[in-house]
Amino acid sequence: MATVDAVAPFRPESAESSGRDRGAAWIVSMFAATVLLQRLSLPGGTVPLLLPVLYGWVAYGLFTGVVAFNPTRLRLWLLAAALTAIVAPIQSSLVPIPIISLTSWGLFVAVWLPATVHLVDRGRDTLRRAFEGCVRVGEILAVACLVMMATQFVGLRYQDWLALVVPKTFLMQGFVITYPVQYDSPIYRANAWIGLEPSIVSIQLGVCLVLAVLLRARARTLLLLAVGLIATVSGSGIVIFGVALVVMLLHPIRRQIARFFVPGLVVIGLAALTPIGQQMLGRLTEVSSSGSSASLRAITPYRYLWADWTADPLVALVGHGAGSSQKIIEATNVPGLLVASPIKVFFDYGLVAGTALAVFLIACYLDGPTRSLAAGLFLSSWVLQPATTALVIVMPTMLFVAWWAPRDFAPVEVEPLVQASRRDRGTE
Amino acid sequence: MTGRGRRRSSGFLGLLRRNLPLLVVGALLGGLLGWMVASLRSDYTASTVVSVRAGTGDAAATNTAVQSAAVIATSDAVITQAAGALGVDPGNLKRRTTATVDDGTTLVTISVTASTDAEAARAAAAVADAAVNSYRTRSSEIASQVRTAGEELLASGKLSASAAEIARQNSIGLTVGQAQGGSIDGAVALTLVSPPTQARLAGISKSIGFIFGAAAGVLLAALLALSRGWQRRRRIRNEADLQSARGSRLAVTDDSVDQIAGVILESGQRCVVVLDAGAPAGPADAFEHALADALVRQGDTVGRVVIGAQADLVPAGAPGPVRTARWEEADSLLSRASREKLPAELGCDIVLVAVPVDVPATVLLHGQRNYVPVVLVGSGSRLGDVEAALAPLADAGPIAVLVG
Repeated sequence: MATVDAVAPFRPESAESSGRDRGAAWIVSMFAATVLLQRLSLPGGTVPLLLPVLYGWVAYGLFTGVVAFNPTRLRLWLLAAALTAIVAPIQSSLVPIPIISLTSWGLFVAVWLPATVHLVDRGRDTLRRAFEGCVRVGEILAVACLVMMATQFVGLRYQDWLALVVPKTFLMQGFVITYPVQYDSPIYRANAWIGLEPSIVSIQLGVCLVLAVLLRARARTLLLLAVGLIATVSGSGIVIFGVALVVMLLHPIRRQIARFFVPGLVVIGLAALTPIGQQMLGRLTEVSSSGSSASLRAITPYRYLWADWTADPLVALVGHGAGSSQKIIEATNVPGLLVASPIKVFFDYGLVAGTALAVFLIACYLDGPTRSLAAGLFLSSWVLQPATTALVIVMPTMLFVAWWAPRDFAPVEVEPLVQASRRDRGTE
Repeated sequence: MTGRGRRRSSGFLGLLRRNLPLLVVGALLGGLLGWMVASLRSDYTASTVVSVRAGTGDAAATNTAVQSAAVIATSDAVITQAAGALGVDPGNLKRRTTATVDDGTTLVTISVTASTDAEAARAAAAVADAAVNSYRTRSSEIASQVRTAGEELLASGKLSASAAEIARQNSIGLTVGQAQGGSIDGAVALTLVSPPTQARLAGISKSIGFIFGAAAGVLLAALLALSRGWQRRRRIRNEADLQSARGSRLAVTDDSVDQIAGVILESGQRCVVVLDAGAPAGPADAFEHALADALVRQGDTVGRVVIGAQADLVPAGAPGPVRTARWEEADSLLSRASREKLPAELGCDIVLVAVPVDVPATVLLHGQRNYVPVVLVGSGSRLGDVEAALAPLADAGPIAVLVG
């Protein structure tokens, strides 16, 4: 059982609190925008509306002094972006039939440019406020997921309300917004109507669940987020939460989360008895099945591309061209087959530029305030998700890791955070 | 903290702004190189377009048929047939052939690369013909199978009595023929839409090569601009440039003389060593006068000591007592004990000691704290030189002033 003594001391409130509020508000509002705007696009349905919003928000942050450039990541980004641009004309000369997309390269470097900034105030108090705000956003998202599920269970058929009010050209195309929990079922996976895919909502709720555990949030908050996560019937968020939990167990914070162990098992047990829980359990071992979603993300893409990848050492060195892996995967006509991040990085840009790119991308996961969330996001992004150009999947990494790095205090798994309300009460 | 963040952010953006010529040169050079490398490729790509007729109204089935056609167009069977017609190695032809589906259509573009435009066009036509033939053969096989099945059905007498009677009554030939036609309609067919009339140079276009090269050039130039080594070579032209120099507690222009006087008085030190780091003599003297005036305005009496060649140039009318010293006396004057005695010797509150920056002066002052160093920087000085001048004085918290 954790005690107050086990919690790191907090600095007293000071005149800097308004600055902390600004930093926290900046993060929370960007997270809220990520959740709310994820389905919207610029006219054409390919460039997410989130991208200009993010650029505007970062520019505002730079102008007002909320964020500043991180010299290390800025240099790494410049090097990676330059090298990946340099290899394009070389690929054009060396690859027998080059597929080189300027748009694909541009989107890659544009999506990751905002990761070159960090918050000016990266203190623990600001971090706690930001995490609390994001958990509240997550609670609202979870409620929306549950409402969506509940309406379907009482007999109201799923309806894409957003598509009714927003013209198609302003909606992101090429995503499976939602689909039945199993073949021919009238119940659709919860995406809260605003989610780009149930798996993406699952990631957002999984991240919020990790934040809530790190904050020692109330049981009802944890329960709400967990049930909302289950309602998405997607394993993406559960993977993040699971990896984060394992990392937490390796740190002193395990004493803090021990009290959730029994209630957690009870919730998992009860959830497993429901049809949705059964569906989720069935997916636990799906990676071994060749047609499963996990396999199509983590294993099958490598099988399709390995021959091309290794055919010519020189081409492997310089890469096949920006966007080439995506084109090849699309041409296989295998539904659900995705381009995992390592493929995108090394197949498209080669070993040289790809290594520079990988170093930058990995640097975005280092030295953040929470090792558990960074590990969960890293594993999710590098193994399961096409997380190099999908901004909505990249956002949690920026919001909860990169923009807080380098940290100037011990990781929260070593010196745990505590919610303000609990701190004020002075009780566990 | 917030203010510092703002200054650092503007520092990075300002740095890029100050290095605009470098970025432009980088873009042009990179663009030129990209254009040249993109021009190196001398082989050609010819494309031919085939249309896929799926024989079904179902969109998903049509999409599957179109995607399958793209895969079959580059299959070993099709490529081997085309290679046979062209008299080339199938493996080589396969590496040079791609088939892509044009989004939102039932069209498949087959592209082949070869060393000449004519050869590329011939190869693209051969692959397309082989693909069309492959589908035609498959359709014939289906029709043949249906025909055989119909004949076997009639011959075996397995039709039920009523069905056989109806078939006889409605002409057996028509019934079987319709069944055959339906089966053939359901088969996928490929037709040539656009023959490979014109081949183009393979690889990215020169303009795309230019864009990639220019982007790489700008990014590398920005990386260079951010590097410390490059920044140290940069010349200081304004206050923002001076502020990017490391090692000063305050970096301002000579207009901010009251601010400088305020910092000196706040420090509580009674000796100010004014070091000349490349500032023009006239403006440097004018600044020293202005600083003395500013200190006097704030209620202090000021004495001045001028070391070295400048001793001859002390203008008349300077406030407070003035003492000149030969360069040989610099060592003793800059020693801590001498500096502490100077105000009393000159009968004033604060003494300004003017000395050119050089090795003996900075060595004598190195590591000391009981004075305020003011380093006068001339416009056009290199950042690295200014930082080198400030570094030995770091313990005393030097004030850098851009003069002239």
